Amino acid sequence: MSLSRSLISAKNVSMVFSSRDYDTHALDEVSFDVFEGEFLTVLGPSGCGKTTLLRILAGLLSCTKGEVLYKGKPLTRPQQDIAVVFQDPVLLPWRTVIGNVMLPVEVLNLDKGACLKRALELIELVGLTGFERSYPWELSGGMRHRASIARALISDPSILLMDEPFSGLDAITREQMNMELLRICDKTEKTVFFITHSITEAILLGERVIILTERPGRVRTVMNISLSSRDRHVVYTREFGNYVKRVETEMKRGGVQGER
Amino acid sequence: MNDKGIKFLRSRPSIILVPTTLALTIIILELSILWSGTPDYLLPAPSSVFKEFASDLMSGRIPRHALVTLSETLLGFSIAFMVGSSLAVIVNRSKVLGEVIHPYITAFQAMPKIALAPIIILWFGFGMTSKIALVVLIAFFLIFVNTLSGLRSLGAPVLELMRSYGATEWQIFRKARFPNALPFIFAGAEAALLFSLTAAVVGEFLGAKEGLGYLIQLWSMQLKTASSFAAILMLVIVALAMHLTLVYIREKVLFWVAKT
Repeated sequence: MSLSRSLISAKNVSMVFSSRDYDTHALDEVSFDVFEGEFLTVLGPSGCGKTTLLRILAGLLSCTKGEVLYKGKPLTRPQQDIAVVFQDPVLLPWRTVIGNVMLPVEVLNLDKGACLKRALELIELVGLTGFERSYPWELSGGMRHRASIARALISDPSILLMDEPFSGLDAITREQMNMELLRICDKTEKTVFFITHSITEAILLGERVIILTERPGRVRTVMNISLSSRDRHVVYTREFGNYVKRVETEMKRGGVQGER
Repeated sequence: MNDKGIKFLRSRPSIILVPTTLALTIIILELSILWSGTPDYLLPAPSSVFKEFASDLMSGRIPRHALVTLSETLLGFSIAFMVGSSLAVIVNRSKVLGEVIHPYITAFQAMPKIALAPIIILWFGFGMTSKIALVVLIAFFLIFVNTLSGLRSLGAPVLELMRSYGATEWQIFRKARFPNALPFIFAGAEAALLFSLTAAVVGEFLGAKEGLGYLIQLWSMQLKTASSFAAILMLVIVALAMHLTLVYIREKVLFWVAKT
């Protein structure tokens, strides 16, 4: 891992939201690197500034202190190379699956012909073949998320920023989507920055887990995870249980309760 | 009738019930007016209204005047639509303009604009122009206010999605804000269209040389009540035709709305 190049580097990132009456400290001196090709999960309780952190990395928000470097250069606005997968799939209801997947192509003025071919490949990759011409309301919750992942991949970004992408789904679909995500990322060799408040999800998906404290969010610890396998049965193994114990201990140390 | 036909009618009883109740109402009305000996100038029997309607339709008098009223309504509505929706787009772009214009809009919305009718006729005369002006005045605000709230209704997630691809304001407008506002625009247009017809008729009451409102006013004074009702029947037909056309267009354009 240490041999890999750092894609995104957050240095002492602090974020304060000022309103007339009071200031809200969302993030405090957060520093970490996202290395090329890794699957990094960020674990923290609700309201610890995880989403704020993601929005800063996406270039949608500027931090009040510190800086974020993307491939060594300061990151100040959204980059074509960084794609965001939001908590909700956010599909436009008047567009078909293929239309939604092609949306970034239109916004970024990419080559339509080449991208259309790519869009069809991505739709196949996320397992939506046969639903290219379907509208979002004709899809199930999990299928909408699949479409939103295909959309994020269309501009061929190096990194995916994911903000609790499957938290709105039922437990069974969520587990299924996590496995799908691993498969897709394996195949496309993308770097992933994945935010979650589920300990299981963080350990199962992440090669490294960043544990944040309660607000204001600070990096409590970074943990390397090396599981012998990453399928859905691994969660029942002793190895996995040990990781869960370690993470829980870490979180309790700061008085933080995580969700299993 | 075969089984399929019966099943279809069972699922949609209104297909039988609406014409039946209508026919029953007409028959009861006809008989009670006949038996009670109510004079024709107070409340004409349906049969005399239909007779007048048929003869005025044949003579071309009702269609000619209906065409005047319809033209005033549609012309005024179209002007109001173009001005109202473009102004909403401009006001939506500028926060300052929105804040400055807001109290005026509220005041004008609260005012019964029909009260301006005599003055409008004083300004624009007895011809079609004054009716068109009155229609514009009444339809404009409904369209403006609805379009504006539609443009403002774009959700934060969609906005974030578009921004994460570095979309320009124009791209956001074209790809998300405008289509998202369409249901509001149609709702405003539907209300405005029927109010437009009312405005045209009221304008014709107050001073006109032609139009269905003029006819109703004239015939009522001459105690030709059956003829007045015939003209009102024509108004109902015009209103329904306009409304259903707009509903038809809406269903075609907003194919996604009922589904989401």
